[in-house]
Amino acid sequence: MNNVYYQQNSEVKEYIDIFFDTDRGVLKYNLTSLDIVDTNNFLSMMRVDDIDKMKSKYGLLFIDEVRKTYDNDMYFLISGKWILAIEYILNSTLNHSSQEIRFIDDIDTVNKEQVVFFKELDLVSLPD
Amino acid sequence: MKGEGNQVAFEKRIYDPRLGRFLSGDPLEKSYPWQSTYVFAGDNPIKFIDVLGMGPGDPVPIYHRTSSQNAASISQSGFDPSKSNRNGFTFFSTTEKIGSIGSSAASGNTVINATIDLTNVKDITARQMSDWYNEGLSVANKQLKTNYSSMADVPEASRVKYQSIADGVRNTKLADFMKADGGSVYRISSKSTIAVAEQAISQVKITGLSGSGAAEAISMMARPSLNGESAAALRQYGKATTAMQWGGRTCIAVAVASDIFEIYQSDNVTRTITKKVGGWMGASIGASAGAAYGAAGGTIVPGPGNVFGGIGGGIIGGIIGYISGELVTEKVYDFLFQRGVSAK
Repeated sequence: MNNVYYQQNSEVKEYIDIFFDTDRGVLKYNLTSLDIVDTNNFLSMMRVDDIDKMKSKYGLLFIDEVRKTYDNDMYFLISGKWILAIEYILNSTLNHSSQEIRFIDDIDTVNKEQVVFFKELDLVSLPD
Repeated sequence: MKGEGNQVAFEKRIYDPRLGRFLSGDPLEKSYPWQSTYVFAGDNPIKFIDVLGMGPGDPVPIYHRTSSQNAASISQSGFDPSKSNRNGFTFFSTTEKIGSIGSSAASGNTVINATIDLTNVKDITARQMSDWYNEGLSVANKQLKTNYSSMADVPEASRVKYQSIADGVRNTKLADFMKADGGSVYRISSKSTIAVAEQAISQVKITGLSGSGAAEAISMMARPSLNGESAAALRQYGKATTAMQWGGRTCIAVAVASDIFEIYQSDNVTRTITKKVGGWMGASIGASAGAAYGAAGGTIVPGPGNVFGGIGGGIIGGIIGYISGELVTEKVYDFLFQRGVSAK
């Protein structure tokens, strides 16, 4: 995984469209699945700059395993070292849950429970 | 024996997991006269959360993300669930989710930091939330005249629409459940979320703002005016007039508002206002000097109403100035008022 980009969803402003730029193509988060898309015009999107910190900490980043919740929060185990989470954060003053990306690091220590939670979720298959 | 893992340091005292007890008494023991002050989480760790080691229901930090405009209104007038989109309750996250990305795109760039006592919290299971979500999918099917049995069956191009309907229905179902159940505070296990019903919203204590929209929210708040006493004291000190002429009245007033929580909670409101205004006068002066090192016209807060734009590169100077200004004016206040010196 080289980069992650996102943009505000055109239909629901609280949601975001998320793209993973990998050596095997561009993967789009499609709620229940990850699909390869032709898009490579990332200039109009926002880049998740914190990826650089993880690259410098862990080297090359590999998507090992992807799982999701019943309501399409999606979690990526990256290089066996950390988890990239795409989550719908319940909100009562906005029109919808607000969708966010966050990094869960230190999964061998303080965030060990997050791995247990991750392993209980449904697997999402990566495209061939 | 002390040994590794045999002592857990909570913020306020030490817990011994072998004994299931704290090693010292509860700092809030007067609040809980019915129980030993050495027990952990009211002797019911499944029900209660003891975060700080201060009682069976410590005030637990919670966070509510919203727009800067809403944050300004909530900070000044409190939460009003009856005005929210999910009538009757307010959602809070139990994790701050520092570094989360994407929320600013949702006009939710400001986070209201608060606390709540979870002593009487009730639980909503992931299974319950899942059932409500699936009911939402059924509602979406009805609205859109389809018959998908799961979100995965929905064509990619339509999934966001179905997701948003299911999301909304789930929350409405939750609101209905809370009203029927009669509880006040619910913990939603799978989402790190607390839902607080309207009748219990006064239990939520706002402690501050954070997030990229916090400064903008502060600028939208009504500005407390200085009373004659503290204004006179500042004039006497000499720098007030200069700072106001240089920095502009807005800068100082906004700065006062940013410290509004401390001012409200202060035992000596006048002294605290004096201290805060002095701090920000110092910041203005410090920023003026620091700006020489920064790029001209830089901004800290984007968007309309940016009162800091002119300060530009003077952020560091401002911070230094703030600290020194705050200390100086606090001492001036003490001199003028505590020692009976007339400010007029």
